[in-house]
Amino acid sequence: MRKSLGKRILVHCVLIVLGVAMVVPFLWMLSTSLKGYHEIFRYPPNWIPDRFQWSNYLKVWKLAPFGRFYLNSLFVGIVTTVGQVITGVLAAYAFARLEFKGRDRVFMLFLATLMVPTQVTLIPTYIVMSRIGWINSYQCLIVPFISTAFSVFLLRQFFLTIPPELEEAAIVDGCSKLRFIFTILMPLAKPAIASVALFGFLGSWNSYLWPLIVINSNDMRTLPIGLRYFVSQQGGGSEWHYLMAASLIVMLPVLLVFFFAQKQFIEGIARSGVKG
Amino acid sequence: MKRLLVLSLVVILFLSAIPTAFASKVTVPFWYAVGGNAGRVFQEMVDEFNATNPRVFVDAVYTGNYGDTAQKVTASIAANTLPAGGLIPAAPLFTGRNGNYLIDEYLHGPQGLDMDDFYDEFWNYNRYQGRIASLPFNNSTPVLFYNKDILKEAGLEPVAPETWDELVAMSIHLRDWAQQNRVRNFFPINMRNQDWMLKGFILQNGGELMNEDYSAALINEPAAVEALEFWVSLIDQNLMPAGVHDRAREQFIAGNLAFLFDSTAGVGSISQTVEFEMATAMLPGHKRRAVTLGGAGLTMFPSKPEVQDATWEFLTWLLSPENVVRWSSATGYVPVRKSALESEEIQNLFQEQPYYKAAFEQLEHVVSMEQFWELGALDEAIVNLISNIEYKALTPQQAADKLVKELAEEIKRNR
Repeated sequence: MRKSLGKRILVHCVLIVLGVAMVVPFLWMLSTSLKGYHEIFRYPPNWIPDRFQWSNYLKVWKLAPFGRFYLNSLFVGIVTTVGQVITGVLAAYAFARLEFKGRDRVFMLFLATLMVPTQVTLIPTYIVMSRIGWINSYQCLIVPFISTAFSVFLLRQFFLTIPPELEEAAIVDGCSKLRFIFTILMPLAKPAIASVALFGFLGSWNSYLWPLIVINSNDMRTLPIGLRYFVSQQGGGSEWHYLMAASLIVMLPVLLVFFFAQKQFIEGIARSGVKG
Repeated sequence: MKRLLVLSLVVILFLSAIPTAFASKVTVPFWYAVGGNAGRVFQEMVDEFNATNPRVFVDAVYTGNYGDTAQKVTASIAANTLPAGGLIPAAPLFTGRNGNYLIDEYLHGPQGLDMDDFYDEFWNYNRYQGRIASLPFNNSTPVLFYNKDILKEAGLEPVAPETWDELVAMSIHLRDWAQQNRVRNFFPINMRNQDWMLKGFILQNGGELMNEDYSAALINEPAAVEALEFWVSLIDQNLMPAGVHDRAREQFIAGNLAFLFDSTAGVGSISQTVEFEMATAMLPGHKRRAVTLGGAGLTMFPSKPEVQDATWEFLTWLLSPENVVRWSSATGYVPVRKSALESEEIQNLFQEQPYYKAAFEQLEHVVSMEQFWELGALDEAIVNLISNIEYKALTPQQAADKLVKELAEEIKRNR
């Protein structure tokens, strides 16, 4: 069944416009990151810098301890993601399969926490952390985010689509609940887990306010705070060329993950669609 | 698995042993809210202090811009995890308001500073209910930047306007010149930090912002409303764009403005960036000359006596005349000490980079307010007022009345 030529042209026009809208900011970022400060606000704007200032990248790397920030961000991001997947799978399994009194009410309560904005819980969480003595530690960056209502919700919805007969059959064959979760349920739920992991990692990677507030020493800080070193108060004016170079450095791994994993994301969604 | 566990235990033990290496030193946790170039200069000064001072180690951490830092300090006050000192915005509100007048005590103690060497208005800016609660350090004032090339091209003398009337006359000439010559995207005037600039206009017109005891705003008095009307007249005559004040500096750098009202703290980066001939001048006056004051302050939070002493030592080191000179010439923040302004280095700086001269020499015209809790609300209200009058949602009188009423309600809620 081929679509008519007119229709295909129309679809492609829309796609091209959307594609350009997505790519232009990145190109602009790249261009700004290679400019000298005086070129940034030139009008009309120039896309190609007068002279390519590759040194901006080197400078950025030297001006703030980005290597260290990178390690911190990776460590915190990976641990948070793994934690979210583990707690999410277990909680979602309980909400989807186990029978206990008040299960759905507890689940609703859980979902309700999605409505509470982070700003509201910021200070209470901070006070809890400081009572435990965790201010200025990696735990403090990880533990409050190790379980989220969003991941539990997403996984539960997915688990509900898996036929209960599968579990019954496994149990008849002598499989324990935990073993069922890890060897059968999780591989089946790959697409949902991939989404949870992606959101978890991005959330942690982009998080700014919490790390800023709870971390007081430079060697435990994460990348978003590193970016702030180039933004300044009323006085100095932000150093946009450095800021853009640093932003590109920060975005690179996420972009790469998207680039290489997009096939799997799409496949996952397509496959789960076939099943459903 | 077990091996990994042992290994990580060893690492943790090793890490926790590091602080004992500094045990003989007093560590001063210190937060600062200046980023970009100024942040780097500050960190260099801290490093130098640490290198030359065997007994004290200042652990300085950048805490984001003023807004971020205020949030961090607020959370830390609630949880009691404050550092020993900091360079933080609205410092008196985080100290004096909580009954912390450590700065005042040290200032009047045996290791005090020569207070007469600082401008009175700077002390005023660091007071809470009459008592000093922080020290001036990174203060800035607004200054007039002007593009000499454009003035010459339009057939004007490349000198700065001294009064509002001269500013308007020159701007009208520039506007007409731009129209005739089809110069696109050009405006004669724009202002960055518009709330700060409007305060200056009110003061220049002989108005006041707040009453004596900071219990009511006076922005709806005739002298202040006249200043608002003047502001609107700039927009009406197409001398200033409505709304896009946060882009003012970029417009100036791109050569699309003749006059830029901006902070002295921008002198360094603007003068190094522009590709035309520029100069700076004192803000034009009207009934009088007046410039407002901005910036954060150095302050202290309660800690162990030896840490407090060490913090004070660091703060006074930062404020030594040589360091004030160094800080000002590297950043464009105004020198807070009279002896610094008179120093040879600063006078040489005026010779080499005349842009600093106007910025620093208007200090005698500085008008400042004490810190009061609703100051943030006032600034926000002024930003709203400006967009209301610029877009004709309200007349200047209406907008001023609204602001005064809203601030009165806010004050009533808090006191």
